[in-house]
Amino acid sequence: MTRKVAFYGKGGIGKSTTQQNTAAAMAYFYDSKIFIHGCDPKADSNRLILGGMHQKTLMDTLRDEGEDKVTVENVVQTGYGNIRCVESGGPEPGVGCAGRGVITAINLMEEVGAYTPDLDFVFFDVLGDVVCGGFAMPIRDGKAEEVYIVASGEMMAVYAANNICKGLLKYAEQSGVRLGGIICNSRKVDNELELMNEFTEALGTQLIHFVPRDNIVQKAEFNKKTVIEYDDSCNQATEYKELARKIIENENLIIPTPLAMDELEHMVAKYGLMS
Amino acid sequence: MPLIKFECDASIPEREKHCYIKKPGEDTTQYLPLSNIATIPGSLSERGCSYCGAKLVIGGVVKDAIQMIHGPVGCAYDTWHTKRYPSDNDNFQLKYVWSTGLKEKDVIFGAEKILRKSINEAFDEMPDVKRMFLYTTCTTALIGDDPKAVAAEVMAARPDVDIFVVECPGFAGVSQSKGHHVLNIGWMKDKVGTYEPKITSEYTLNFIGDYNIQNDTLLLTEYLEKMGIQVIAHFTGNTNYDDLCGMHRAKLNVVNCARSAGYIANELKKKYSIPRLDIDAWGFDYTAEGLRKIGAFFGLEKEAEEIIAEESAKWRPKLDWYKEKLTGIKMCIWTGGPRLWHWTRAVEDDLGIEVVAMSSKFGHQEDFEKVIARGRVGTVYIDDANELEFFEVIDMVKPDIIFTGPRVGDLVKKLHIPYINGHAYHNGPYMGFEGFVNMARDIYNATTSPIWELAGQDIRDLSYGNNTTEDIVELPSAEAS
Repeated sequence: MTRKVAFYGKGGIGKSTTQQNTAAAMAYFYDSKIFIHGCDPKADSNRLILGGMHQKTLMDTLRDEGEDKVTVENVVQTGYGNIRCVESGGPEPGVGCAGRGVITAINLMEEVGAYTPDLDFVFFDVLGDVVCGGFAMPIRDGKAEEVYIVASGEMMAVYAANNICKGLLKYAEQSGVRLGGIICNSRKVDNELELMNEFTEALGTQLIHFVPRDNIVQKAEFNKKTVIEYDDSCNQATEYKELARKIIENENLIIPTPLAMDELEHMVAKYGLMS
Repeated sequence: MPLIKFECDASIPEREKHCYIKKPGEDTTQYLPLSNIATIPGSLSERGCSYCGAKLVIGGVVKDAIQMIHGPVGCAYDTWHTKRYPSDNDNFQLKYVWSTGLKEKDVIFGAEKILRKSINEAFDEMPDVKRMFLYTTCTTALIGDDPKAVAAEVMAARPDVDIFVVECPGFAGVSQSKGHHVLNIGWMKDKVGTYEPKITSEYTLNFIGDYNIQNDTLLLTEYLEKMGIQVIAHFTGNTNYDDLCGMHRAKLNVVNCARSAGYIANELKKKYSIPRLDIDAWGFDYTAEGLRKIGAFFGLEKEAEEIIAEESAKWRPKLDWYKEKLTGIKMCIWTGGPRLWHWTRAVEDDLGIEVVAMSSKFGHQEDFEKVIARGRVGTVYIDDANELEFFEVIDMVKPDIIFTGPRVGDLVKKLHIPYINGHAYHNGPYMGFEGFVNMARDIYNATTSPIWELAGQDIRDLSYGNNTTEDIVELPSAEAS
């Protein structure tokens, strides 16, 4: 049975990078069949898998050629590790309605049967700030049932993660979506691991993996590749392999208990003062 | 050159590809007007929106369901009391419409709370009504509300109610047609198969694509029931919500309006192997043909012929009386799409009327193939005609009667040309044997009315109260009908 997973987290925290590297690890080390659906108007969720920006986004195709031309053949591209990729696309900054774009994109993919039953995973890469109902489309009924939040030990990232959990609560009731864990994309902040451990415990979830900071990620990105494709024997590749395994085997799916503001401030301050 | 370039379209020359005149010796592989594409900016189109196609045309006809429109009040108000489909449920579905009355704050903060409240209020206000159609509109589709989730919640809390959610915002598609499609597919996916009808005859069918305009449905159902056939569901004229959920149990799907409801007939064929039989429910000859085909399917040929004989004896003499009077009359049909191909040959065969110009608001390629095949040479066929084109067409073809909606009807009245409401009829029903006589009567009364000549008279010189006998107009004597 296909597992549909959504990745949320503060803008710029490393969701797309983490997701693509994890998908590449799953495909390469564990033979998984993956579909990545990018839900960001920037359309950059698949750059590392496809070795460059996606040729034509779903929304561009819809706008320029009409709904009939939005087919699997036209908008889904296959990249590294046979990972299938589609980009929703959306409006330029400052215009239109990106949220509606996500809704329409996912509806269309469902209509044309893009999420085939042979897939092990469908990943929804959602843009950072879940500012309206549209960006919650991936966690509506019948879509993603598992969410992973990518965070780091920085204040803003932790706040964002906490906020996303508040949103998740509402959908947990309606559509049954659950939090699978927090992925820490390390920024080498002081006491990062300790803070993340305490934070995730307070939420009622797990710190599913602490991904260390490593320049090789940037090097690979510069070459439009995931770390796995760039150098499958390096340490970072092993880290992603671990994260992939943990997600594959994860059964710890819960409804989070988000913290109140002052609780959160107190926690962050505690670790800040400790250095 | 079979395409027409109207003068009024000089600034939008793209319209040419939508305007076709049938020349001798041509067929539809050579020329077919473009259709079912985006409306051309600058064209005074008659099209409506996708939400209208779902609610006004199909969903709103269901006689025992609350029609809840999730959006600002305008969407509900403007699709209320604008179509004439009565029901034997005391016209419940004509009397009421419900709106969640969206305001600005709901757009900003999300409207699921107000939706939940409205649904519950509606069911509380009408405790005997247990079914609901819930529609999204442009606004609620943009803010990412999840009406299906809210509906599921309410249904869990109230196990005796059932809600069907149609997500058909006005901006989807290019016309009403998208709304038809969304509702058909949604109903098939969510509701067909959830109710087991009581089977009372071995001959069962669904009648698909008829919306009981002025009691068309009741008339057709009479013929079928006389033949011993049980109509499992009528999609959606005078239907109950639950009956529509039992469509999977029919042995045959008879389709009249293939444009708005051909989709569900196809889905029923795919999933339940129920065969699809297309007929025309308007027209004397067509109705007989339709009953014969249905009779042939079930082995009820004898019963079909009995009805045809009975109805012909009653109505054929009257039809023929009108045929004599109406032969050579020139008619225009400017409606949604299917009535073009339902009526063009029927009025010719049954009444001697020549259809000289037709326009379809939202027809697809399939509708144009059908109408051009059945229609006359020299007739004008237009996709999504605009109002200025209508005036030029009138000059070209000089019609005696125009079947169209009341808005355009009022325009042509000013040219002293009679119109008949092509969507909702004047004095219907128009389907079946009796219906075509009604239609003929309305055409006869419209075209022979002295009002058109009177309207053309200049009365400015006749001062009130000072008329002399020379000023009095001799009216033609009324004829027995």
